[in-house]
Amino acid sequence: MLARLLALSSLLLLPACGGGNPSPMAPSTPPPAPTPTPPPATGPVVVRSATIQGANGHRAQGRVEVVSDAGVFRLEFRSDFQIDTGSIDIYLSRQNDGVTAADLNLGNLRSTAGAQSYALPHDGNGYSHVLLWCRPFRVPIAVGELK
Amino acid sequence: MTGRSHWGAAAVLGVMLLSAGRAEAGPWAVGRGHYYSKVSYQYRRSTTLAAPDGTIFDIPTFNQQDSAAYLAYGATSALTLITDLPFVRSSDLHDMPDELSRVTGIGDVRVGAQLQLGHRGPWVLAARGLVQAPTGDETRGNGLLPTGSGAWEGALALGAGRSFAGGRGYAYAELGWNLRGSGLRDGLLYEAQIGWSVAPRLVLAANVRGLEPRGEPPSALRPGSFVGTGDGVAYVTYGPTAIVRLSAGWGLQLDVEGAAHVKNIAAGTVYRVGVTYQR
Repeated sequence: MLARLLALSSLLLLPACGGGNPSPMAPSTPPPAPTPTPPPATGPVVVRSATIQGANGHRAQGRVEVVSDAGVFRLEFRSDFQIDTGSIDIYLSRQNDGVTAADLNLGNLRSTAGAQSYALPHDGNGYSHVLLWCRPFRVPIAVGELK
Repeated sequence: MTGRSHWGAAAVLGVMLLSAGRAEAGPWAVGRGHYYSKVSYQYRRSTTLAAPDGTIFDIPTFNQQDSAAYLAYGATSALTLITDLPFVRSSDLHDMPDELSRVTGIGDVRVGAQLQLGHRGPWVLAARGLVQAPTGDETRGNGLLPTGSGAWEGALALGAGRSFAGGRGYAYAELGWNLRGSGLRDGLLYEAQIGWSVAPRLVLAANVRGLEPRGEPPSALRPGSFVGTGDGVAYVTYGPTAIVRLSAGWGLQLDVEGAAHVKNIAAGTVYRVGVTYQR
């Protein structure tokens, strides 16, 4: 009788100790299904980034990133971006103080503040800077070194 | 792109900022019931731009024309009321393609007063105050060719002058403070002129004046401009003036201005012609 009572109390205590998991020793519980391995990350990946600063006394600030998303590249200005002048062209350039025909023009800056995204034809490798260029006056307004 | 030292550029500047608010008659009062009026036209042609830190860049040709009407009226023997209406400000940049095109509009209107504080012998002392209303448009040309600063502004100045050589010559100097609203930096204003009657109807004068911003840049980002209305504009201008006295109160005034130590403004020689009438 005593042996049967002890066996019953052991069964009642098992859930409290095992955290509710079935005992691997229980012969009636099927083996757990193997945990699926998560697929490789396919979300946006920051390839390089730059901190934008005003050039020649102009005022600008914010972060810009070259982002790869499933093989598609974009240049993304983050929400902290601001610049003091409009009519700006965005360049990926090989120097920090001007643009040449060999540099990559991404088109007109759509807004002087806030997050915005521009398509890149490739990863921008080979260009060292993001240069914001006042198109009508042909002067640099802001620059950031890509790292 | 060509960047050069601002000292090496020998840049000359056209400054319209507060130019019409300058002491047209120095610290001398117009006199009770009398007035001095002037309609002027100013032309500036620039091929260089001074960045906010003073670096000089070559730019496409930038032209600016200003027409203004100025009136000083003697309310009392010591108090002169001043109005300055820049009724047309027109500018364009020969960029390719010409995306900015020509921008034309009214500038920032100024009103003020000058009080003659004292008069002893050939010496005169005066104080002047001006308020500038944002009647222009700071957004024109995508913010690159504004017709005004978009801010309330003002100036306070003290001036002293004296005549000499029996009234054939005169000189005056002013020192003041440029007050700028909307977070734009205030600055030190100064001006001096010395003139001489070289003929009964002809006065030749030499001028120097300037603006030097003081204090920290505004905490909020202000739109920039290259036409002299942005934050941190600095200049020292110099040049000759010829005043021709015509008949019956009419006169003609011609000015040419160049400059050094320029910041945040398109630079170029300024030519100004004005027709004056005083009674």
